[in-house]
Amino acid sequence: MAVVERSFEQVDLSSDNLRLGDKPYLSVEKLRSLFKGSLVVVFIVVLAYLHAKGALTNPNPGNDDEGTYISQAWALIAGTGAHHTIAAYTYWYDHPPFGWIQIGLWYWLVGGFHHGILGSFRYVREMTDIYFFIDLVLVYRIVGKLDFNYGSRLVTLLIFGLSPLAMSQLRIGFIDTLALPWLLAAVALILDRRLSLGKVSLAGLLFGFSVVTKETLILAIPLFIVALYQYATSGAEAKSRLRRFRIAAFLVGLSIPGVVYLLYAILRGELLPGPNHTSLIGAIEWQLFTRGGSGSILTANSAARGSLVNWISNDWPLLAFGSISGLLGLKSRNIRPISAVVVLGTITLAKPGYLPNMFVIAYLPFLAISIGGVISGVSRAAATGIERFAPQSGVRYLASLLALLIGFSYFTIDSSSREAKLQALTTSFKVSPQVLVEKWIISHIPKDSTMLVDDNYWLDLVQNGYQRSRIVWIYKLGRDIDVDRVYTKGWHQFQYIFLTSNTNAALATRPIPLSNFHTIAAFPTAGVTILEINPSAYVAN
Amino acid sequence: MGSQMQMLLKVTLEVVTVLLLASAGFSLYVMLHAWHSEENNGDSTFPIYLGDEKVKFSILIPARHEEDVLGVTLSKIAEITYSDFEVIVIIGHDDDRTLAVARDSEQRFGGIIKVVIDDNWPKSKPKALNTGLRYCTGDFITIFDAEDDVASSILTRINMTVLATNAKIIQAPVQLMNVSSNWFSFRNCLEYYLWFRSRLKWQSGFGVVPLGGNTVFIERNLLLELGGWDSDALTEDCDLGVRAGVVGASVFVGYDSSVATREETPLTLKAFAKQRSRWNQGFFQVLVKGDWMKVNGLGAKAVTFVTLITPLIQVLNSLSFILAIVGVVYARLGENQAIFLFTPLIVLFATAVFEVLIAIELCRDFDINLKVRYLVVLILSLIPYQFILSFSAIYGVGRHVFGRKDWLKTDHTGAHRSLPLGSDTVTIQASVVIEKKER
Repeated sequence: MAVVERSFEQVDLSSDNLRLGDKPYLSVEKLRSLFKGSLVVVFIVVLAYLHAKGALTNPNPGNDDEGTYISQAWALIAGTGAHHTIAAYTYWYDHPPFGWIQIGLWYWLVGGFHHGILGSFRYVREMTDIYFFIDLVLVYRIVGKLDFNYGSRLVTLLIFGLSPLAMSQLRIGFIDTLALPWLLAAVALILDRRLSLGKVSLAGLLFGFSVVTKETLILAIPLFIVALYQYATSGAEAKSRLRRFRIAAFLVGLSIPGVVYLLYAILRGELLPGPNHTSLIGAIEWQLFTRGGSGSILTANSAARGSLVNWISNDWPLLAFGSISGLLGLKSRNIRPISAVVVLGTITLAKPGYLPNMFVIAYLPFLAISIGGVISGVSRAAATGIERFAPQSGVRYLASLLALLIGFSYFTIDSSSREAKLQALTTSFKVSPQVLVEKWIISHIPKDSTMLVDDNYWLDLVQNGYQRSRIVWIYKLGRDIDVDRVYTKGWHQFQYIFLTSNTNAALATRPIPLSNFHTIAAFPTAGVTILEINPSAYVAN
Repeated sequence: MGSQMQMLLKVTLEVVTVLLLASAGFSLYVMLHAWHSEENNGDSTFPIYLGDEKVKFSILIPARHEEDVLGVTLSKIAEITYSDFEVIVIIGHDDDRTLAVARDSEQRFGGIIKVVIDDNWPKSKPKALNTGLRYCTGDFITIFDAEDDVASSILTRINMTVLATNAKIIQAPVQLMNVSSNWFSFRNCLEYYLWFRSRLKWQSGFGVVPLGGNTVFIERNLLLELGGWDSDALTEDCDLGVRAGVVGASVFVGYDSSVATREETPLTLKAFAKQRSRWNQGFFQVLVKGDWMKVNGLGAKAVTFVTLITPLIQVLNSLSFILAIVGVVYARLGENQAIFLFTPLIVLFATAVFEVLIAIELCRDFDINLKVRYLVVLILSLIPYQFILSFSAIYGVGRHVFGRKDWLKTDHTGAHRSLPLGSDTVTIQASVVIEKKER
């Protein structure tokens, strides 16, 4: 159908119409790009492989978050949540649920949790391995959009993929880890040069999904603000008119997952705090105000200091050079959105408040990209300088070569320590004590026992035949409406207690008189002690 | 409630939600087409530079009981800065007062304006247009309504567009101007802006454009080939657009606020609902007539179909609110899927956000002094407006089903002319053209 699409002012004079003669089918250029592409694929595959190698057994599930999220996902798909179907126990709006909804979707996709000892961990670690692969692909896309030279793109991948900190943190099924690909996908979209309203709103939506996976990722918002704002800083008036539409489209996309979450709370009558139910506002109040801070990184022995020390000991070059590069990057228009998020992250780090260990997760790729940006800028400038003396040496190749050289020197810093850490992460079998514990429990404790447990072991025990109503997260005793309805006599009704560093933390705030229990097994390497109640204190239910 | 009934309810609600979501999503998508990308935002203007006059235009002005506004309209049209055109005013044989005004103008602007009497009964706009068509001698024929404020540069711009694009049909924008006459007028103005700025351009990508009732330029030969307008059509413009699409006539849709024809929104709610009912009935009539099925290409067919079911889409969009209320009840019953029932409403609220931005664009393009009050009214009127649209849709379609096909005519008072008109406005419009040229 003949339709006049454009007025004659827009007659297409692009190179396609003016090209003289067709190019040969397999040109040098095509071969070259084929080679460059294959090399990237090799890099990504190798880095993803190293990440996955040993991920099922190292690091061991220390903090109870991982076990909690897996259990939530299990409750979601098994549909047996007591009060809510989106959590194993009464959902109390501690975090938005999209993280474990993803785990649930993964379950639906690949069909079922692994059974057997530590089966649930194997399951979620496989998932994070695939997420890391996606992270790598998206990081490569982002550095492409940022116009890094080829050598610097590869170096960025290496800095991120070979970071012992990234490797150890991103293997664990933290919701931050599950949120990261959504954030990176949103970033890759927003940095697109030919940005349409559809892409902007999709970027907003993806970012929104990352925020309802882990709410703290909202701290990445400066990246998007800078990117959207910069669009019209050099351009016609029409651009600044379009900018408003873009910002609105982004915000609309971003708010949709949040609005749905809000609706969930409202429809259940759980928006505002009240007697006998949990609430969204109550949880936010707790997260922001009531929850104990982790102190300042300037105070020795504070939890925040502990996290920082842990990060530094894992990969100080990434943190140090990354933050410095972030500051330097503020000067370059291209990379400024990335720098904005790195700089804000560094400021947040310095300010006292609640600073969990996984805070660093969302920043890792951006730190690596910042370093890559500096390398790209420096190598390009140096290559341009050299070309002035030796013309026709080819700036692009020279820059890539220099970038690889600088990248190489980055890896010479503290190289033996990095090697040792990577070696340990990819080979050592860390979870053997936990395996031992689970095996012992399964063979020594009857399946119908009542038991207070660490969240990390809960799902495995349920999967291995223990009754979900009879084994209870120690955290939930005295804090969950449904648990307290069944166990009206509290700890008296439990035959066994499972003590770990996690349960000790729970007991610190809600003590149980352990003098009424006696030790029946201890596993010092796993940090686990198993106690049995004295017959005189036990009240059967 | 039995579990089978429960299942049935659940599935029904989900199907309805998907339907409403599709309808709301589609409306939002076409609304934003002009702002989707830089290309979409900029590429629809008419050629600006001056060239030779090659095209002769015939302007048709059907007027019925328009004695209050016709005189001014004609004297403005006579001032159009183009030499080769004729004006044919069509007056009903029973309408002496309008005839007197027309005759007066005919004498004042001798040679340009010609009055023609239409003695068809019952009266309708397409019949009048077909009567006028017989007297046309121009290469391109256009229509203006009796109350229209026509840009003085319009024919110059269209002449150049014809030369540059070889299009057989050119649609230029029409804009309602009285944003603050009543609670729904801003919304109504916004609808026009969106229709001409965004929707029609999107539509032209598929080759079938539901043409506007005026400021549309059609090659005379094409019009004769198509047999003129359908005398029975209530929206003869839309009908003609579909039939032109069937023969594959090339359509150019342009947008430039400086050549927009300015009109007024109906002043009373009743008049507005009447006008809407007629349009909805007209669209439905075209749908039933079935010419759209002969359009070439599946995409074009689908788009034309979706356009003709606009009345249905309006009804669906207003159902979002009712669905949300159902959702609240449903959630009380402990249904987790209740959240899904709210999704169409979420899209509708997103639409409201963009409406505010687009309202700002509208006011900038047309030098309207935007007040915060207008925006507040715009937002508050969202829900009642939707309900009036769906009432009109149901009423219009109902009229058709029950066989009432007479013409519900809109009265005009000249509310868009609260600004000083005549030569002043003409100069302003001309200077806008020059400014744009320099940019």
